[in-house]
Amino acid sequence: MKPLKCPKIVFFACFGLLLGLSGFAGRVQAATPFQDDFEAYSVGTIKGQGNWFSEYSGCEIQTTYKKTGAQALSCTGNTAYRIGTEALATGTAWEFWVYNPSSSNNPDGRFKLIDGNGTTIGLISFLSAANKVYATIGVNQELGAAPKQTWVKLGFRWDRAAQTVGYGYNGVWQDFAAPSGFDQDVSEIYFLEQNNKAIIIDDITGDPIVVSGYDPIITPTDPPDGETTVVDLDDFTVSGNIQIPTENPFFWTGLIVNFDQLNGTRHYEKDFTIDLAAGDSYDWNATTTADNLYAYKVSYTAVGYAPQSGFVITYDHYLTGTYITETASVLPTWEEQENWTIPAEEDCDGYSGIDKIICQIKNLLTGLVVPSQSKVDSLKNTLTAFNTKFPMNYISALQGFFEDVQDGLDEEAAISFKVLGQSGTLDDSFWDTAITFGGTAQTIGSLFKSLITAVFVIAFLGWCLAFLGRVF
Amino acid sequence: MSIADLLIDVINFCVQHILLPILPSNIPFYSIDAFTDTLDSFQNNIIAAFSGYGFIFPMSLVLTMLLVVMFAEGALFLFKIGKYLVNVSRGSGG
Repeated sequence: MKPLKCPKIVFFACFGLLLGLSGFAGRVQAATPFQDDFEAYSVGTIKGQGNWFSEYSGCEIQTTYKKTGAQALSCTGNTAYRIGTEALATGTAWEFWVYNPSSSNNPDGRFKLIDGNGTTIGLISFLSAANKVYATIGVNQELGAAPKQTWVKLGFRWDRAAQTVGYGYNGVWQDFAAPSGFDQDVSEIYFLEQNNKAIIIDDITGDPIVVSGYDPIITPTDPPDGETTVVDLDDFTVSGNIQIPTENPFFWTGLIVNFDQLNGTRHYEKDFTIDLAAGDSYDWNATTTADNLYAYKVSYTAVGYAPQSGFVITYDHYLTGTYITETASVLPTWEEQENWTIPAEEDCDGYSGIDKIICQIKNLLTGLVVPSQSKVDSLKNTLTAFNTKFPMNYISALQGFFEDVQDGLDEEAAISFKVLGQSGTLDDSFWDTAITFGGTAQTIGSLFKSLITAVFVIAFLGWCLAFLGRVF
Repeated sequence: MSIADLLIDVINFCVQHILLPILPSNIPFYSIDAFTDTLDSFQNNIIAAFSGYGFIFPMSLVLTMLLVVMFAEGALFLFKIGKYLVNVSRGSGG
């Protein structure tokens, strides 16, 4: 998901909250997942405080170790579970901080996500002895390390419509298919330590997420989806329609049309303030301007919020195959962005006898060494993600810098100057004077440029020799 | 599953589970946004300074050479770092 510029989200969220506070609310309500920083409880067992329960004596509120504030929950061979007292959002992400306060003890923490039937649909195992954190229901996936005396942020998120459960480790999420029997909304979060060594939990936060099937429906008209478009971005009309499904529980306050430069970092956007809830729709139409020198990918971001909690929701919609540019000269860059396609196997039906056998053997060998389209696509996605990381993103920016400078230089621009308050432009007619050099007629300018080029090439060759000397 | 599929799986696994989790998007004190802004202003200065001189000065050639030199020197530097670390780990000194 493309990161949004923060101020834009804040703007739309604040706008939405103002609407909500002014009585606009009253349509479909989104449930607010509970949050808990354990600051409101009395020190001692949490059992019976703030809708927290336990099978045993209960985990305890203590003041020695905490992520923020003055208190946190400590479990030592005990449980604490919290059953939702209000309807939960259909999809939610919960995160919480975990800490092993000892430099030598090895607590065994188990954190569960349980649905309304009592089925455990998510389990995180914090195994200090192995220094591992695992997701262990539905999958057996290592999430990361379980270091001593270091706070680790773990999380669950779920989408019952899509039957997925996600696991978070320090903000990095991985989604997996939910275990069977996930047919009720989540109602319980459960903490257990089962090795009689203390483990600390603090700052549980919850955010509603837009679940599958309830996304805003974004239908762009111009530029259209799935087509390649060449336009003049100096005067370009964007238009389309956004519709909010009736099951969507959130309020939507902003729509952003994003133009992101291909092979570069330029970003333009056209923002629309909207006011939509379940069942509403809106037609957007506006003229935008942007730098025409480059090719762009277009995407749309809808921004909304959960009415009760104010949590900001975003939903991204990416156009497939639509790039925008002014001139055909940029098209080669654009063609490089097309999906990598795998050639299809040769059709052997047209052959007979030995030719058919050779054709089939060729297809067999090809099948062994040629990757499938899905794998190639996954590799492309992986490399795309890799290119957003250091140092590739810095190298890419540097490469873009050189290309942009070359594109931006105007060889025919007038050279202006200012002397004693008087400005003017340099008369370069001298350099256009034709002379004959070596039997060839040419201008003084081109001759001078050739000489400078020769000097640079000689210097470059000198560097090449010195470089090779240092290598070998 | 072809051999190439297997190789792609290995590459995907290594990149997604080893490289991506540890590689930062920004380096401390000099974020990619700050770096891009610097390059943008530098780019504008260069374009403003050298536009108009194209008929006597081969700016594109100079930039291309500069890019080649930076890339080659960077690659050699990284190679020497790797070689140094290997020598140190073998106990044979830097």
